Amino acid sequence: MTLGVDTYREAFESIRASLPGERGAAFEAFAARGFPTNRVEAWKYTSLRPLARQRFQPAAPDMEAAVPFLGGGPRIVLVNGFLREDLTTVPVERWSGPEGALDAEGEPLVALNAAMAGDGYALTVGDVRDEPIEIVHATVPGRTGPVAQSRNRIVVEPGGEAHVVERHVGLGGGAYFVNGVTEIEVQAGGRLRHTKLQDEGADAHHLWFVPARLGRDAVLESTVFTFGARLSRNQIEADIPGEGAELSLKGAYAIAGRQLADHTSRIEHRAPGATSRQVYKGAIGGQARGVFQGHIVVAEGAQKTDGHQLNRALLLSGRAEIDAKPVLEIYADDVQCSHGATAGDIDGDALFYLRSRGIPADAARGLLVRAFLSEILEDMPEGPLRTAVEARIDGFLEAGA
Amino acid sequence: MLEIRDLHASVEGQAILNGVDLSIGAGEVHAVMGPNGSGKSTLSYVLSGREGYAVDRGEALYDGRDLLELEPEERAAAGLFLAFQYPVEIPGVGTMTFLRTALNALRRGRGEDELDAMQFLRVVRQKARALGIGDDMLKRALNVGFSGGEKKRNEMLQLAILEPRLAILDETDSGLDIDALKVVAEGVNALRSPDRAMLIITHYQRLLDHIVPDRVHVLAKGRILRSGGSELALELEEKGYGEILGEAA
Repeated sequence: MTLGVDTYREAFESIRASLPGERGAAFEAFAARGFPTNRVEAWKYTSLRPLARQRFQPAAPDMEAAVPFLGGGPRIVLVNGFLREDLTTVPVERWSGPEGALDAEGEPLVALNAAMAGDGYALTVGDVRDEPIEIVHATVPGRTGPVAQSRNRIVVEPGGEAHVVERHVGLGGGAYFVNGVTEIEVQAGGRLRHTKLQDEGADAHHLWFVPARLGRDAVLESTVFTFGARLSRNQIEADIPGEGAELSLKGAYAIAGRQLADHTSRIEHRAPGATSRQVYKGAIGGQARGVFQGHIVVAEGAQKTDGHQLNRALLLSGRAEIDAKPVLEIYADDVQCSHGATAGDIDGDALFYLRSRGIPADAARGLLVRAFLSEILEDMPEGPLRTAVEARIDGFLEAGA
Repeated sequence: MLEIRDLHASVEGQAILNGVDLSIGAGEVHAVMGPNGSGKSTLSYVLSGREGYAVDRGEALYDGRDLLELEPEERAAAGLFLAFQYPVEIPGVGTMTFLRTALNALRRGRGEDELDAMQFLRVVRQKARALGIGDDMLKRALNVGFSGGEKKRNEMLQLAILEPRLAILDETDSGLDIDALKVVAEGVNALRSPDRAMLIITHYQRLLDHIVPDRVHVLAKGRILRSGGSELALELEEKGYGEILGEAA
């Protein structure tokens, strides 16, 4: 019995006729395996069983919802996975079906997305964009408990350069499920800075897949900030066929209560002389759980690859947990690769030092958590995005995590 | 101001202080000297409220209040300050952020207005200059990459900014060269006042050449074995601790 297939077949059939393109093959690709269980190695630490059993209604467009923005710059807005052209100020194309989509076969949930996505943006950057582009993915939980699935794509052409900020928010309380994809392609010599701020509602489930491809000398810096959702997974699968490409993946998360935040990455170095850097840091309170899986593959012939990953977790309570699984798979002989993982609680000496100066225990703890996460914010310029991230960290601390 | 009576303390079940009696009045500077392992640092940590130090017996009254039942930040708010023997490096916390957070926390506790960024900067600049601390040091993360001497000067800067009523200086002279020692001593002397008391914990006499104490106590085996005037420090320098330890045996 495959997990969640019956429920989603019913949902799929109910909207099939309204979807552009032919979706049958994509749905069957999902149905063949269903939701991954913990028996699947890549999902060992994150259980989707309760999620798969929950019944969500396929989300519908909402042309009324008011959407808050971070800045006054160019933006792309999606509500419930559907583009809001009235709020979007950047020229984009729209998703029109799974033909030619990346990797609908590999991951069942990506296949489910390919089968059911009703919309999504496709942004092509061929020039240098000075202002960050804010992309809002908002979901209205409403009374129905919707599942929102959008399929998005960012292509940076040779000579193109941009900073894209994807923000994920829930508009109002209630449960919902977001199963989204943002494909990223940075072509030869292009540069993309991609920042994701996941601040979904407390009862949300958020699964997001980022298949990325880097061409020759392409640069991709992708940083994720995870604060919201009951359960979330950000999964980046970076394919580096381009010589000399530079990939940087960073993440900071602050979770508490019974939250689970999963950051999974797989980087495949297929060409010589490319570099990848990964740094993930998390503050975990309450009975929350962090998952980090970092997999680096260096293919035969990808000599002079330089790949490093680091995962650090700060456990703020005795019941907080982190599962970290780094994997290095190397088939070339002239490479530099490393991984490291640490987990610990707040440094007692540092805490006493601060308190002995009159800083109350909670505030001292807050300073230390902020300091721990600050490495990920280091090269983020002053502006509304940084302010929003800092405010979210402050909010986490004030909530007494 | 500080009244310690029959103080017994232990760390992980091992008795370190075995009945310390010590009384310090307002305006006085006392020195506690003693060989390594005599319990000097334990005394400073017990007074400042560090975790892991169990008080087994006795009391410490600060202005008549039971000091030992207060949290570390409450002791600081009441006017107690410990200059650490080994100041802690805290990456990611800026020195200025730290100083301002601490000062404003104390000011709030005293019912005073918090200082804004500009007012605060003026206060820090002036006090830092007096201690030979440059802006570059203030811009770094707290104690990170500081030399031993810089860390000690940073402790003195905190002392000058936070203006405690009772300051405990734990081995402040260790790691300082003679010039830095003079700068630190001048800073401390400038803070001497009729309503401020100081407890200087040191192994060597040399700091006491520059900060002349009103009273000197010899701590060994967890007890004050002898007390005297500032001349006692000179005597110890000359004869070592052996004689006093011998007397006690």
